[in-house]
Amino acid sequence: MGKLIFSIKTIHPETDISILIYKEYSSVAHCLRNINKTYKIDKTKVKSLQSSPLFCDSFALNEFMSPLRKIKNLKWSYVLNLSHCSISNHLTSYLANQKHIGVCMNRDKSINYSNGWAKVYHEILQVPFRTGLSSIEILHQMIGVDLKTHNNHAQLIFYDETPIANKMLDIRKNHQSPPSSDFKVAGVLIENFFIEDKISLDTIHDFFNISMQRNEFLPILLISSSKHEKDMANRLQNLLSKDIYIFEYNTKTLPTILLHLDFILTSNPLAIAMGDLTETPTIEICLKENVLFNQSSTLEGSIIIEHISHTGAPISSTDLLKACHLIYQKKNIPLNFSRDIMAYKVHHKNNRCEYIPISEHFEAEKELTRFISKDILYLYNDSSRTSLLFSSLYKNLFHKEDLKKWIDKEKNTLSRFLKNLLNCLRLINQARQREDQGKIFVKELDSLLNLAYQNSIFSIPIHIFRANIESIHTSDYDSNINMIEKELFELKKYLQETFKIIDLLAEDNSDLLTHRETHPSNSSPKPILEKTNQNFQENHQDEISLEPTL
Amino acid sequence: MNLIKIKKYEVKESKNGHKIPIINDVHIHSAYMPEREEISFFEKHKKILKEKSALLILGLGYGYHLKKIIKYFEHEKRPFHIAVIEPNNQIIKDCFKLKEIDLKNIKVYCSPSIDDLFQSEDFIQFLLKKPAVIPHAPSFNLYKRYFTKFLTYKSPQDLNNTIKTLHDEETKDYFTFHLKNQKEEVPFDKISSIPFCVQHVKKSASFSKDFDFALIAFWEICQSENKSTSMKLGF
Repeated sequence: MGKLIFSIKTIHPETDISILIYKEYSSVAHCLRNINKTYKIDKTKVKSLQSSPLFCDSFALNEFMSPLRKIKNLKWSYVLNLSHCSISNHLTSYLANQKHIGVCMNRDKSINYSNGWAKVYHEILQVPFRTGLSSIEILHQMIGVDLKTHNNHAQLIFYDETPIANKMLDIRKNHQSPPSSDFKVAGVLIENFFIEDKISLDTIHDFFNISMQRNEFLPILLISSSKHEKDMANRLQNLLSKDIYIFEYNTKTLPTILLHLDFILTSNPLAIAMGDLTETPTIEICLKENVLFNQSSTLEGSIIIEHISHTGAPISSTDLLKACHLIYQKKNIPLNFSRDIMAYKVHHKNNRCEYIPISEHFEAEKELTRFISKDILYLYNDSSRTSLLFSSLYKNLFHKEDLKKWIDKEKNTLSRFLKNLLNCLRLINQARQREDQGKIFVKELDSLLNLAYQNSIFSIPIHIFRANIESIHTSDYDSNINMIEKELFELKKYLQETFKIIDLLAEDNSDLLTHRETHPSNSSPKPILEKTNQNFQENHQDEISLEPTL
Repeated sequence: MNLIKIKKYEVKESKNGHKIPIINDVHIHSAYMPEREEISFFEKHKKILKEKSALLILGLGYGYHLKKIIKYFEHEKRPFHIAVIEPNNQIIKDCFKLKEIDLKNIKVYCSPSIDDLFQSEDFIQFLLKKPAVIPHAPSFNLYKRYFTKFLTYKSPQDLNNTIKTLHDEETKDYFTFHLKNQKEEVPFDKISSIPFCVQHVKKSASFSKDFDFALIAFWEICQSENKSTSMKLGF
């Protein structure tokens, strides 16, 4: 939200921006600049009042309506819904009537999307389907502003310079011997690390041990006030022979702490977002597949590590150290993370934020789907774009065999999808004539909707179709049938348009797809990573060109 | 129904000169040494005092039983919130006159009607602190019906009561007129509570009023689970 508000204010400096937020998160919002007023709903109080038999429900309703009254009485140019839950959707309808951006509810109880990006945010971001689009990027597109980079974190965030800043400066002085501008201080936030055994305490212990021995950077442990984190910090300190610096942070002090760090290692979305605002590069440890990129850093140079767990082993300290070396761009470091790790680096081009795979082993098919899905979404929602940004990018990242295999696979997927779709169209006609055929049709429709969860670019139109179907709110059988049929034809059209993109790709790269190369071995073709690695670190602008070639 | 029947109210002196109220021939404090009562009351509830800083005392008397508790919190330098329910207005007046204890940090609630007590915003805000409830035994026994009703109180949830305690006119109008005029002809006296109204709105084919949206959002908040802070941030 911080970046979004900054982007809006940069383009429209005369805008007054107020926010409506749950009281429990208001301390976070108070860190942000450019907010005119903060309205708070005390969710805990509302729930306590309503759930207790002692109190009449009216008290809860009074508490709930108190901030809303103030908002409703004011004139707003727009109400922006940045959440994607039923509560905010209904509140947007209550507060905005027609002037909204994002999602709200219509009076007929269907969902109202202000534009295609609102649909993407509400429908696609919530499912485990990787588009490589972060929520921040989608929100920017939804509102129609470019993602603005900032030169000075003071433009975005409030921070308090005093005691913590002095402590941090002392740490640097004490550890730089001799003083060197290369010396780095890194913050390690261990919240969520030990969930599901993805990272063990031993890994963190090794990480701290080795970093301190090598003296290339100093790791500092950052913990919240939770008992669990304090226990883990004590256990870690007991394992280590040297004392480590441990800072307890809260939402007020975190910006100042981050400002004095060279980078952070975390899986905490709050810290990642704050890191973006304070321009502190982040190594994000993504512990769950279906949230990858959703709330990732958009700061150029940040790294995301995903633990895929082919072997069942937890993330190793070696992998963490490699990521640390990469983040301050130590040269000539091989990108050979372990097989359980997928690593990405954040790269900006043309106001878009790209997550470029940088580990030696990655699933080409998955990554191709991700890159091209992103392009498809941009093409769907921005008619001024006629070319694919990806088409230049892939040439340096993927082998031609990967692209060919992927194109063939997607064509097969499309055939299957179309078969389902045509079945639905056939059965819907029968259902129109005989209501008892409705059940058979619904079963086939279910199968079609389930295709949305496959890893294919053709899942995107199915997601959109599903969203459209769920918005149908008629009680009349015939109207229902007609509307569903209309959506089925729309889906067919979308699938065909998506197929054209594959054709474009194949056509654009026909030289590579037909060109024969000899490989020294029969092992699975590797992408041209050595070249990418070297040039990415030295001068990635030259190597990874995102200029359209069509 | 009158829960408090005061037939006789006297003020006498204890053996060591402290004033004590006697109501309906019941001594509210010790006739010999009210200070001993102060100590025993504190000792009995010491464990709770270590855990809680908000206390709801049932029965004020002349406040002797509260002295040591207040001293304890002041000594511990812990902020504290003490509220007292005392149904007898005369006792409250006498307590203030006597100034045996400093009442500046104590809120005293006096209401013959339990319903009225639970409609006081101030009292509700105090109850949200989840105070420990501590009865002053002589007061509790004297006003047993009153305090028992207090402890077993359940707020009426009918719409008439709801409308009475709503703050703003638009919300009152909504419940009073909008639901009465629903096409489905739900009898007004059958609309017994806000949850019922919510179900009614959910079942209807469309939202006809702006407040319908707010009502659904309100209900979804009430039903929501608490999710982890960090995951919910669209920061």
